[in-house]
Amino acid sequence: MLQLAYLDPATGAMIIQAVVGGVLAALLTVKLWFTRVKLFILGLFGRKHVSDDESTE
Amino acid sequence: MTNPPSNVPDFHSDPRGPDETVAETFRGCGSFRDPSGFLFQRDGILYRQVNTCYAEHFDALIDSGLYRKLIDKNLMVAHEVVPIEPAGPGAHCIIKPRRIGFISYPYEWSFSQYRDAALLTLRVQQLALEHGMVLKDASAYNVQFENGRPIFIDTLSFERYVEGEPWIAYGQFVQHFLGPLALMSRRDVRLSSLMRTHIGGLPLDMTAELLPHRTMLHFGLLMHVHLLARSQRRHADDAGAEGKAVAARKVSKHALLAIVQSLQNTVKSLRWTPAASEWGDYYDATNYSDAAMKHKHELVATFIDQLGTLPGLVWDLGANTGSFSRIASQRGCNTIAFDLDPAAVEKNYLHIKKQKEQNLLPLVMDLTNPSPGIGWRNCERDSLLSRGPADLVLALALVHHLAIGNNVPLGDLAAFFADCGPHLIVEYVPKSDSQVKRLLATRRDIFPHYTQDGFEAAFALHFEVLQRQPIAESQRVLYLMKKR
Repeated sequence: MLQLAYLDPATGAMIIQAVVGGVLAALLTVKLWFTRVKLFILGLFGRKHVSDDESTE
Repeated sequence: MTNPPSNVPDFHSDPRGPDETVAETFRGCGSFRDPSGFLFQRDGILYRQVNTCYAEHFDALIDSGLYRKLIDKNLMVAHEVVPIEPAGPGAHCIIKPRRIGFISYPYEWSFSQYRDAALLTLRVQQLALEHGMVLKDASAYNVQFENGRPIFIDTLSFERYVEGEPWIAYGQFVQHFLGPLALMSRRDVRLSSLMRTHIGGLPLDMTAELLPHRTMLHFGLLMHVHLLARSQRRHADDAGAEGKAVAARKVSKHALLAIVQSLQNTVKSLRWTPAASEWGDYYDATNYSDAAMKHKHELVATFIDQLGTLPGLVWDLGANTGSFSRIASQRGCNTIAFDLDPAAVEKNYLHIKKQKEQNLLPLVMDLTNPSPGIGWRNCERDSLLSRGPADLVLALALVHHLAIGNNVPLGDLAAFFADCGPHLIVEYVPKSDSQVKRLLATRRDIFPHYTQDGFEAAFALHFEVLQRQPIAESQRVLYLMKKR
């Protein structure tokens, strides 16, 4: 079994991307929305916008 | 027959090439896995043949603007298309990539070098996706170092992206990058050496087993290592119908980008800081006075300048954090600073990166067991010596470590240096020196020939002494030698 796992790494890695990708994409969407809401609220108080991309680099 | 020049992957004469009348062609020995094309050398120049089966993707790389972007950002080596005779059948075109000064391998990188190589690969994948392409390979061997920066070298690693397809190189990225980095960070930094025994990357079941259990609590490592290892084990024998059903599962581009970003965050979260004692000032830990250190610097500089022509490639063996390597690199010599200690190499690399230094590449190397030729026919990845010879070898404060610390007879040591390059700057450290006394404190002195006369006699078989200068305020002697 373990030997097979070493010889054929592709299948497991391809399948899990659907699962992991789904979870991570959902989290990312939530994070983006949260950032937008935060920026909107900060905008109400006249704070300068910070680019989401830049701040995570 | 001419020998292929140094500093490129191992090459062998290829009987298949239709070029017997043109020039001797050497086909890259480690360049057979990918049918898209291969590396070859002719007249000492490195080329890459692009095969017709890959033409569509190669043209897309250029037409999509991705190639221009990667070159402008200095993330990939540039190439030019050249009108020369192909080295094999099915050629779409021949390209001539810009040459990298010295090829290094992941098992020779310090932690931060390895981490930067991983981040480069993910950045390239991100840019590829932005241009409607995708990386089909995420091999650590596709990254090299130049002037303190990682650079992507495999122009044939890109493919047109098809919406809904999972990332074919996801598993390979984890096996080549994330797994080794997690082990280095969370278990032991020396585990990068496992890459030497596993040329296809670390088996995931092994990585998951070697990692501490608490890494299950690390979100990224849980997702990308532990769950992936489990999924792989579960689906290992899904070759048939189930495998096909599985292949039908789609991964949206949004999800794919989320995976890449999550891998980036996971790699960034991995750190390695050597124990405080190891971070101490290395050169303070030696027994040199300031004057001796200064004099040694001056002598090394004078010896290099006396060579007449500036050496193109310098190997500093046992370079520590590279204080003497810089004498060569600052003169414009491509200098490789080898050291056994991952902390010294790490410190050297971080310094180069911070100061944006040129021409200096620090690498982890155990000279008592230097990198061997590995992979198919022992020549997919070159041994240290087959990446030489260097034009100049520095062996400063090293001889006693190898001769007394590792019992290497002085004659064998001289032969090794002669294999490394035609010029040698070597320091003799006598038994009366406190560093040697320390080495001998815990063992019997079985080295009756370890004297200055014995040293000179042993080296005389391989080298002629051009200069011999005692180092001020020390008992050490510095030599400039030329191979016989």
